[in-house]
Amino acid sequence: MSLEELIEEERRAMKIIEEAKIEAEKIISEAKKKAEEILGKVTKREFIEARVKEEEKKAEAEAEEIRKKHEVEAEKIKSIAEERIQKAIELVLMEVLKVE
Amino acid sequence: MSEALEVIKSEIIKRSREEAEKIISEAKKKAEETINSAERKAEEILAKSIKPEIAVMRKRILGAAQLEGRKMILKAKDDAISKVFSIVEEKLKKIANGEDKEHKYEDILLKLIKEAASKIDEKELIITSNEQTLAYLNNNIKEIENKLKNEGFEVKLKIENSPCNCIGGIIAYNNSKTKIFYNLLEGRLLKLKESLRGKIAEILFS
Repeated sequence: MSLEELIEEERRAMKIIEEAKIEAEKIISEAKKKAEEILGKVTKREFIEARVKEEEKKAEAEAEEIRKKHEVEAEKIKSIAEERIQKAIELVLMEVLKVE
Repeated sequence: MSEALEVIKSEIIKRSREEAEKIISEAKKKAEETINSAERKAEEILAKSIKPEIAVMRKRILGAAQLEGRKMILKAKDDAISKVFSIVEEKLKKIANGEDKEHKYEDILLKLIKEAASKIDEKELIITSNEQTLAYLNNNIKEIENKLKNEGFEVKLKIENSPCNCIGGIIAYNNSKTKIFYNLLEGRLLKLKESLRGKIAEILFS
């Protein structure tokens, strides 16, 4: 009686492993299918266009940063210290009125 | 005996479940590797095929932004320099109107005439300017001639009483109008605009 029970248990164990193997094969098979899809997609025009679009967005974001950086610099230029402006005015005036 | 049997049975199932988990886990790992590898390969293919297109596109977009930014900065600098010249022009108007305490227009005028006399180098000089300056010159012509004489310029001045529209300074010429010397304040300022840009930029932005 006990030996039969053990054999039965062993069969159950083998079934669990068999089922796991089937599941594993399914997982790998699906992964292969997905991999093929990934590789197949890259040569499709719409995918390439989407990717170019994506890169374009990135470049636009970088361009915006560049613009902002320049805007900050331009604002800094606009707020020149009064003493510098005065110094420049004095120089020009001196040169205009400098008669040989 | 029955208890021992239960232990063995439980152990058999436990081991089989462990084995099953291991099989699934390895399969998942392999699947992940397969997908990752495909993604890497796809990325390589894609990069190779669209890399030049993306490079051109990036150059275009970033180049335009750089150019726009540089223009913005140049404009800000140009505006600042123009502001300096505008203020100087206003100051020159005040000087010519006698509203500037630091600069005496009469002294400046004398220097401008002296320079004209030196450049034209004739015994007689005809001078014109704006209405206000002409009025001053008409009233002080002898005094100016004397001052010029004292500085080594013996020259007879004639005033051309047709005023020009200018801030101040003079236009001088000889009788035959073959030699004309423009010594107007705005003309002098205009001449300096280009040559002084560098120095002004250095003062303002360095």
